[in-house]
Amino acid sequence: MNSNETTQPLIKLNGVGKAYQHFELSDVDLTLEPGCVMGFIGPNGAGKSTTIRLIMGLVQADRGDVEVLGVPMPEQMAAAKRDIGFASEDMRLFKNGTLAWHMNFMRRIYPGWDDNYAQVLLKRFDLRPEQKLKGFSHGQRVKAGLLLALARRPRLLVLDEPTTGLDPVARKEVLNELLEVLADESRAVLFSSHNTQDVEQLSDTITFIDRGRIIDSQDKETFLDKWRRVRFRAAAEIREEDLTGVVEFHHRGQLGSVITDRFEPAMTERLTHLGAEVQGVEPMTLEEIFVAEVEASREEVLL
Amino acid sequence: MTTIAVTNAAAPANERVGLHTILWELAKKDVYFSAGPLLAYFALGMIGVALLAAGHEATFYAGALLLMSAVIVTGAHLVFVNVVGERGQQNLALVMSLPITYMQYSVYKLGANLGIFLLAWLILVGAAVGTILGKEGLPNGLIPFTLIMLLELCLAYVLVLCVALVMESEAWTVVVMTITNILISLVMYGVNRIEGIGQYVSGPVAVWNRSSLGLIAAELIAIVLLIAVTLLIQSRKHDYL
Repeated sequence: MNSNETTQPLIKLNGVGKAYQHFELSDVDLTLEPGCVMGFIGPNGAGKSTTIRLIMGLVQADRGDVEVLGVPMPEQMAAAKRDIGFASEDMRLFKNGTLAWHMNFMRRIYPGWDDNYAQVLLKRFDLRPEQKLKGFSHGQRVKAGLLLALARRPRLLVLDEPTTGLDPVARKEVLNELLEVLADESRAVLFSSHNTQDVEQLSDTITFIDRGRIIDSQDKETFLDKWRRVRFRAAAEIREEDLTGVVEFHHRGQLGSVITDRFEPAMTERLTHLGAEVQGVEPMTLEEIFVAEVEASREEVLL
Repeated sequence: MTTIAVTNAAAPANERVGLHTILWELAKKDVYFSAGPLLAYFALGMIGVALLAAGHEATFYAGALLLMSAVIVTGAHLVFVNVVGERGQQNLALVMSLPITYMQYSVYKLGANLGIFLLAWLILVGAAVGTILGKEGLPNGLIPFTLIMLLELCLAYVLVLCVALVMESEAWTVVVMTITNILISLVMYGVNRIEGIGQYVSGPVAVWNRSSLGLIAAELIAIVLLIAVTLLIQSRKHDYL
């Protein structure tokens, strides 16, 4: 692997758009650096799968540039896909094939296939290679798909809703395995989900998408550090315009709350100065941040 | 989290499997998932050929029916399991995650499924023609008609395969397959009425004239055109899933 391969972004989307009859993906900019795990969060129908299909070269953008592993997509999709492990909730293995058949199939196509690692994953995921896929539960099918994607040792893992529908035990096994994959810092993972808990556990960068638009993209710590809910009590009227960095503002009766994406201690000082008694500054979960982002984005569009 | 030490037995990262190997593996996959039923249909076709030679009019017609049915069902199985089924059961996402382009996928699907079909078709055609040639009482004049009809089944298969690939729709594939099956009887009737073909069917010698050779050539050209148009349409698609 040359030095370029370890430093250049593994995914780079620049001004990408794709229009369907009832849905449009607009001006998507996205960069995934080596060693990075990006959680790609959005509600159902937000455009996560469309973005991932663009990245995989399975659909062609109407405008903008899609570059994966340093090559343009979909023009050089065959070259790029040699180093991509892809698993999607829309992807099914062959029901009449055993897992061993699938593993042999992948081994013959990917020279990087790691037999020892595949055996480790078989044990970890508690899968039986001689069993046909049609006898697998949903969780076993998901784990089998991940095994096939991971054991080829790709530079880039693209996982579209990999934990959807998994029971808590299977989900933990899958998430643990993905954490393990990140031991190699030249690899990167793009991991879409509407489950913010999974993303919070796994990702170091988070991108929110809603209604076909990227509404925010930052590293996880920035999200968790900067977003706060400030609760206050005030007899006098306090207006949203009196404060800066407000994403959501409520003040009914004497009680009020502010959600901010740029929290600084100065905000509490400002509230005190305005005659409010600050009752608490609460950190927010990723789910709360996500919901607030989506609501704010939708209000912005309406305005 | 416990970490299990893993020895990486992987091949060097820069090692690449050639495109032909990937396409060959995919073709083998199509054979693997169709082999059992295809062998059964092939056996049915061979029984049909054997019945052609049984020496009775009733067994001859039963044999012809069985032979044609075996060819039709072979084609239907290939299209519905390997093309329509692969899409419907969401296996296509797995196939398209492999290092191939959609055009390469289209070439492999056409090549592999036409190849599998032609293998069975050629053996059945050979057996049918050999039986007609070798069996006293079966007029050799049947051979051009037999070839034209079996080639028509091949053309119908190619049409259905191409429609399945291009339209990406089970419903359209069923519609076209139904129409082609309905047309078989009409084509058979029509071919038999063509001057230069029908009147020689019961004759002792296979007559290769402008009508029979022209029809065979037209069927072959139609097959080539269908494949060419399909590849052209596939090459212009932008969305593959």
